[in-house]
Amino acid sequence: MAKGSGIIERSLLEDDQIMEEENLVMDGIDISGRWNTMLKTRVHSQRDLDSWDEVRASAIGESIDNCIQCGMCTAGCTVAQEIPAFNPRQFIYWVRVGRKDDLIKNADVIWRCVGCYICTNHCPKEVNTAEVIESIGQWLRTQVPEKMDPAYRANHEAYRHQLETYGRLSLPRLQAEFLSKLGRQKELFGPDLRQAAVKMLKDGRAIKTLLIGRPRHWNRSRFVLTDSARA
Amino acid sequence: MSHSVIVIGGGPAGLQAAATLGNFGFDVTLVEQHDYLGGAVAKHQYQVLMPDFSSGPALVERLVGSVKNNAHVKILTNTTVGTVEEVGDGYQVQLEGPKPQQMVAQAVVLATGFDHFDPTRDGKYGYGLFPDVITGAELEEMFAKGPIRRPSNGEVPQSVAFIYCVGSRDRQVGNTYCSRVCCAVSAKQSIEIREQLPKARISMFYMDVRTYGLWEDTLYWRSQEESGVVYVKGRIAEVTQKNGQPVLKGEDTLVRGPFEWPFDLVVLAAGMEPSQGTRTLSQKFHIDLEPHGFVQQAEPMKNASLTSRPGVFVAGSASGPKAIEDAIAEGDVASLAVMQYLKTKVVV
Ligand SMILES: Cc1cc2nc3c(=O)[nH]c(=O)nc-3n(C[C@H](O)[C@H](O)[C@H](O)COP(=O)(O)OP(=O)(O)OC[C@H]3O[C@@H](n4cnc5c(N)ncnc54)[C@H](O)[C@@H]3O)c2cc1C
Ligand code: SF4
Ligand code: SF4
Ligand code: SF4
Repeated sequence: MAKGSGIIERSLLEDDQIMEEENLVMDGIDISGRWNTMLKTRVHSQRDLDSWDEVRASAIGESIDNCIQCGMCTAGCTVAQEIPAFNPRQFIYWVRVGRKDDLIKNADVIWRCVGCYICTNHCPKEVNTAEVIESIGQWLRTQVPEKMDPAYRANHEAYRHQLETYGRLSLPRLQAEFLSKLGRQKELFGPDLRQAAVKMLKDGRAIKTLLIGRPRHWNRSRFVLTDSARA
Repeated sequence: MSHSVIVIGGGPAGLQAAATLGNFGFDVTLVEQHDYLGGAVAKHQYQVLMPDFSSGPALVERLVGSVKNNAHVKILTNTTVGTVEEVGDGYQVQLEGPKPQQMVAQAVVLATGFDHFDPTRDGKYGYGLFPDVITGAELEEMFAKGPIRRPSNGEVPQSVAFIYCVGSRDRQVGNTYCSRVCCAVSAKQSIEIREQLPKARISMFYMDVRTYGLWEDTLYWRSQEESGVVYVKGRIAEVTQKNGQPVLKGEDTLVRGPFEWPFDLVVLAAGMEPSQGTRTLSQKFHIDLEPHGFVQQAEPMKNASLTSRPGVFVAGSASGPKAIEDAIAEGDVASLAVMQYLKTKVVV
């Protein structure tokens, strides 16, 4: 039987809160069997409100203070339907009450947001929920980068680096950086990409992409990305 | 010299103001745009009133009786206000209706009330699309007509949902205030449904339950303790339809996670908005509105009926969402303010 299967509202409990012993003797009394399940109490006493300050200060996270915890975002969320631990309303709540441990515990799913903005479109309080979640994800990336799936991290870093350096996204360059970050450079010369490269050379797109260069005065204006997005 | 006062709007607030001013001996003209008196209570035929389960028709009868049997009150139904001009000691008002006429009033009471929020303006609830999604006002009309049935097929509903805060507390529809009575009215309605349908599952979908003051136990608790109604915390994001049933999509924020929940009948607790009359007349009399579009109470700490212009007073839901008992009380509050205002005028 699954751990704690007899518990009502089992979904509210984490595995590590449930104690189950095959044979349990307490004060000399054998209580093995149906009395063998016990719960560790979980009193939350360590609040960490830095995340709130950081999210609120970021360009994409400032609307977090609008949230009224109504649940419309989660109700419509594409990812929440599939992954129960992914809950935008709850991420916001945890940030605001300083439950850093819960955020970290669920960090691996927060980056699964697909950016569909259904949450933002539903929100009755004009929280830009999708971007607030992104902002919380950004904060978590600084806290527990190791919890981020390596592919997500590589993707994220490649995007950021490409944008900051060149002021534009070029798919071939992005793909190259992404794959090499993962140590998968070989795939760059695999049959699929080779075929695509030949096609792009033929129709001229490859040259165009390489010649397009940076936006004007990029060295002066790139701070828009680096400062405001990071702030 | 007898002063004349015009009371615009024949709902609970206006009826009370007209009756009291008439009893004070003022010449009162009561102007109502419809061919009936009683405001929203008459329009939607509220049978049983929140909070005390008293009779709606009896209330209308008493209020209408108090103006009809009043020698000082002239009642003009089917009548609206045309042009308004400020003259020496008051306002010259053009009245448009079966008997167009002009009158000079030394004081004006605006009791032009509210309009129900129209849920077709907020597509997510499927109102107007799915026949079994109705408004609270339509439920009142259903109570008046006979037993509760599903509009789609005339069957007895086995499950009923109430969706709170429709058209209220929502930036997307532009109404950021709470309509104040819909929580308590919905609780009252759930108790009434239980009396008719002992077996139906009744669920309330809320963000906060605002049965404020004395209504906490008499309505909210009572609906749970005596009528077995369940309250689910989470704002409904969408209503769809499956197998001929409306399906509510929301998050149960207490146990967390999204749900989809089908019901036979869905009641939208649609909120209150400033009525069209409140909007146009405040322009004609040049009085200020507060940021949500209701009439601004100029000095609520002094008297609830004072507006930004001397001689123009407000009563009832024209100045914000409120219950019938408050609307009636404000009819008297406005009468008192009118009396004080006109007395000082006589002395000067
Ligand atoms: C679904 C629902 C159920 C409710 N049930 C209850 C309940 O059980 N108990 C309770 O306490 N409250 C209830 N309320 C609230 C209640 O309806 C209001 O408190 C009450 O009607 C307010 O009275 P009023 O006179 O201010 O406005 P209204 O009732 O809106 O009356 C205003 C009157 O002014 C008239 N008017 C408007 N403009 C003009 C114009 N330009 N010229 C002439 N006439 C005009 C209108 O035709 C109307 O007759 C309910 C509200 C809703 C939405
Ligand atoms: S929809 Fe908006 S207000 Fe509601 S819980 Fe989500 S972010 Fe908060
Ligand atoms: S943008 Fe992300 S959080 Fe928002 S609904 Fe889509 S998947 Fe969910
Ligand atoms: S009274 Fe209740 S249902 Fe109505 S707007 Fe306020 S909270 Fe929402």
